[in-house]
Amino acid sequence: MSKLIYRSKYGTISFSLERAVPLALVFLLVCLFVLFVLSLALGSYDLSLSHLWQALFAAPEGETSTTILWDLRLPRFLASLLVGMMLGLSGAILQGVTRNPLADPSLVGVSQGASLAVVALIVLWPSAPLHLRPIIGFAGALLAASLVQWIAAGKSSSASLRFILVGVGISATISACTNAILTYGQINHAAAALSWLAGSVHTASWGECLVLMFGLAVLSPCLVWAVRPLSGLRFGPELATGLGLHLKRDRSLLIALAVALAALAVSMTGPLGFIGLIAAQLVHRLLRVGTGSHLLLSALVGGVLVALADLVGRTALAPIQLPAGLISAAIGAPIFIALIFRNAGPKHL
Amino acid sequence: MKYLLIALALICSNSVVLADQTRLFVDGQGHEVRIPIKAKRIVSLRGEQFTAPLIELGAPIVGSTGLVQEAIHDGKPFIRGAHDLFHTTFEGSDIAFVGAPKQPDIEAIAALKPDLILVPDFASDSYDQLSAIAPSVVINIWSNSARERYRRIADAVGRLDRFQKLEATFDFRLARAKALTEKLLGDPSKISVAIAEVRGKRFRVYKNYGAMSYILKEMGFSRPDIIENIDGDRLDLSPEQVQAIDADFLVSSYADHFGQPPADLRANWDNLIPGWHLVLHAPRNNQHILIDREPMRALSFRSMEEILAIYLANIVTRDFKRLGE
Repeated sequence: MSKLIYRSKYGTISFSLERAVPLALVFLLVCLFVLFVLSLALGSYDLSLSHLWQALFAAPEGETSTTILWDLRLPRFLASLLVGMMLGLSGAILQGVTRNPLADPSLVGVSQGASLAVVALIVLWPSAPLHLRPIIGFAGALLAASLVQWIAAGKSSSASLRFILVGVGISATISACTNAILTYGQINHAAAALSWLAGSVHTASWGECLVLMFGLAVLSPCLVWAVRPLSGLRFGPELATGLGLHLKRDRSLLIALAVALAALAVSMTGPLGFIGLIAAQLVHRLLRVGTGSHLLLSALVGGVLVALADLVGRTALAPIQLPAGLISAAIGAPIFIALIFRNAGPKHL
Repeated sequence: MKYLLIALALICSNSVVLADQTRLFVDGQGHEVRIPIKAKRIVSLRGEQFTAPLIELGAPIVGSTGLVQEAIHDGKPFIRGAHDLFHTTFEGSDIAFVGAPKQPDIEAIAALKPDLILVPDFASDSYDQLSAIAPSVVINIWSNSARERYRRIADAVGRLDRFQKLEATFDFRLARAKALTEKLLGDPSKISVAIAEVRGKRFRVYKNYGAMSYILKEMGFSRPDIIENIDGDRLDLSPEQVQAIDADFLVSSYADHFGQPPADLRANWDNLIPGWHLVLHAPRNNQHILIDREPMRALSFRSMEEILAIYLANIVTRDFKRLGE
């Protein structure tokens, strides 16, 4: 365990970091840097290093290379990074609150709520402006998650199992409604909705990146706050209460935080399945770290996964573009299964 | 000789001016776009709806979306509709493959340096990125009639003159067909035709389905009420509602190379609605018409004329038993 201490005239702030954390942080940051460089350099439009350099620093106006770099590749990389970080954080918080390793944003109806809202918008009001999609998706995600919370909070708010079962039930009901709209909607509108449902960052713009950055910046203080209750919840509800946690209030706030993170991410890109589940689990199974480090590393792993998925999806079979949601599941699932087999001891199950 | 050279120079300079001049075009989603008067490098993002009519119009296409299916064209990308109707292939033409219709490769499109991109309404979420590359216009599919949609496409690419020539030929043939129908059958609205298909557990009827429904409407045939009253293009029915689609003729489509041969088409009906051919008037009297779907789906006067010929042969000029007789 290494300790970083910052002393000023106002007081002292200390950070305790497990030995593995700085190494893991450096590794993930290097991965992100490599992905950043590859994301800018690779694509169907041939950009030589000199053109890339010129477009990056001189950005001559009207040049196609400038458009490719500044309007397509850069916002796409940034959006995939931010979305992955938010989903990773959301999954880590939900797994901590429910003490269930399979918890992810789809468990609380976030993905399904956003999907139903956006599909309904596309099919029932096809002339709606495109910028309404993330707003409606965000509202749908929040509504669905609130419904799950409200029903699950009924008699015994501490029961994680009840929360999970209600989440699964509500999510299934919402998915059925989405399928019904897709089945009975006009074929071209259903096609547009299906495209959104595949989960992709191909339409990412600077506007979306700014919204995501603003959202993450606003929620960051809440993430710092979340470390303490999440650490307490690791020991179970009884011990957490003994440690001075206000269990009902803190659980609700943590879930609200996870929902807000996931809702913002899903409303921008469509449902990117698996990231919320796998990012937190990868960190959990590879490193034994504290709650704060776990959140930070889950965010970075989520970012790496989505950025990698998007890069592979747009370049591997180009010009055929595979949605990041599909690739993230294809990359993540085997890694996840391998980890489960490697650490199949009872302490991890 | 001098006058000939001057005339040639004038023609050439005129065409250059036409290509470089622009005009304002309001697309299907209300975007006001400045587009070339006569586009020279067009990218189409929908095979059967855009690329096929552009080929028929003789417009210069540099890129098109396509599909990849193992059973078709040896697993190589093909342009839906245009492949079946005109046998246009990426390898045999100057058209580059730019990905699938739902999510085209925008960088591959940029590499082609297009001067106009045609975007289907269902893929308009990429509009901002596409319009950063080149002038892009959204064409609404399904919401307007096949002919109106075709006219919009021709207008956008600056080929209205060619469209009008093709349209005049088609109208001539359609008028002939309508006259023959009236002569042989009397009022065509007394003849009802239903378009319906069964795939797996889905029993679907169509109000709008490419040239199949468009020509039926143009010829004046009627549809069963349940189809006529559809708000949209299609409706899924319960097998118990099969009698609601009873009509003089039943039309279904097959796509042999998509793994849906005509024999499977009837087997699907048998599986979902046993005894359907005894319940419905059309199959009971051998008045069930099967049409090759892919050429029919391609928006073009050629496919409309082919469907017209099929209806003339299978409805108008043959003996058949009327519903209720």
